[in-house]
Amino acid sequence: MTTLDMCACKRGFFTLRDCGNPATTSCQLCTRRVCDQHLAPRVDTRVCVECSAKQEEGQTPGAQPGQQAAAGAAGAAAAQPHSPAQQQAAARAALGQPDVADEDAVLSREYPYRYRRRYYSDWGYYPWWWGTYDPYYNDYGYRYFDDDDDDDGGGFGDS
Amino acid sequence: MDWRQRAGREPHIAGIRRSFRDLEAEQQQLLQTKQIDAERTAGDWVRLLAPLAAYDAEADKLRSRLGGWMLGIGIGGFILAIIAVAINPIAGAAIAVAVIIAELVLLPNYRFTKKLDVNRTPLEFITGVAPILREDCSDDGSLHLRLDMRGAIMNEKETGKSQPYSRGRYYRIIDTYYMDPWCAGGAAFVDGTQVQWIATDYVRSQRKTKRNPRGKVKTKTKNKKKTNLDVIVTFTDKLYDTAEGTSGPDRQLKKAKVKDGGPDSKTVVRTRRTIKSPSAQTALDPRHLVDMIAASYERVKPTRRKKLAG
Repeated sequence: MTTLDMCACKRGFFTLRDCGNPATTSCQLCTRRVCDQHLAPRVDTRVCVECSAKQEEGQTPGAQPGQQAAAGAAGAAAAQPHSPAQQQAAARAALGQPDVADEDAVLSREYPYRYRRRYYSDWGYYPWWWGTYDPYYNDYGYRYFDDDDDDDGGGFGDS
Repeated sequence: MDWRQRAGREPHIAGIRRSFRDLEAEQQQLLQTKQIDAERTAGDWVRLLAPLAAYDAEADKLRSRLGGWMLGIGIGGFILAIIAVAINPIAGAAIAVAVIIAELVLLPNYRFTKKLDVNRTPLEFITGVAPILREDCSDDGSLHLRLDMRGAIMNEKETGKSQPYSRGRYYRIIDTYYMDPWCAGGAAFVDGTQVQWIATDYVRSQRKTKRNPRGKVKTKTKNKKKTNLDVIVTFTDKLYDTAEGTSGPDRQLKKAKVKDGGPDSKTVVRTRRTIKSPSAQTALDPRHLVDMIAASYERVKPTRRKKLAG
């Protein structure tokens, strides 16, 4: 059993793995221990990048299509992007992608986590799991190695 | 002033040269050569390319404004000078001189921005995709990139030209075809997976000429772009094997080929997606590459239980 105080966040996009860095603080939302790299840049609170991504999910248009539809046809028509560049900017914003001119936002540790969360839910991707089990990720719908021999001694087989 | 603060502002004639000087020497050189073939970390790529994207956006905005001003001053000045000459020849001459001076002041700035203009598509694509790939590479994992920011419409990239033909009111149409492989890259992931991709633009530039009812000849050029994104993902045999089926949704791939040489050999997934764009300037959404790598991961399954970290 691991006794080291390690960061609980998972790294990766197509596969998820343990961060591997020693934890330095606790997230005030999920109470998990996290490292400096996985701390969202907030002034007054200590929140991990994954909780931050979860929080921001409902704030950008496109993140929750149901909410967008309910916003009303008139409002939607007024905000509708017309030019291809505007449509592209809207699509980028919907996936949580920052403006390309904003280097800080592009380089921010939060961006891939925000994008990851949106992409998994909007585009139906289930990452392969190569990390330590954590119930925090139960809503991710990840995939893992399924060993067929696991149920050898289940007791429900032929007697 | 920092380039980031300027990026959100309205462009200024004097400011554009200062913006250029504020860039690092490597960035200035890249704006001149418009090509790069190098290997560095994802963070370094973003740090190199994001300021260039911001500069180019500012320069493009200024150049289109300068073009408008030059045209307006030229036409307005010409009309005004003709009227003034009829009233007072000296005033007419003064207006003509003023117009010429104004054009001479604006022209060098216009040429400066035109000379350093780059195709922003590779910049936007990489700044979008590099931070995502960084998550699957280790901290010191590097991305190898070959970027061409010269744009597709150039003689070197021409692949063919049609014979003149007519259609409807256009009595002479010539199609010119270009092929522009603007971004090729590769990365090694922590799980041993190797990813390679190449994005190629196929542009059809249609130059068509017609004669209007008054007998005036009019020519216009239309560009249409199709981008082929080819991705090869090689999975290590230590962790992955080919899956029986595809586990994800339909990712609208034009081609998806899985090569599996058996249980002890690498699984190679080749995918292609074709993206049609209404104009040659439309940038490629980084999601396409993410989608294709995701589609490759949906075609394999792990062969063992293992914990990866870092």
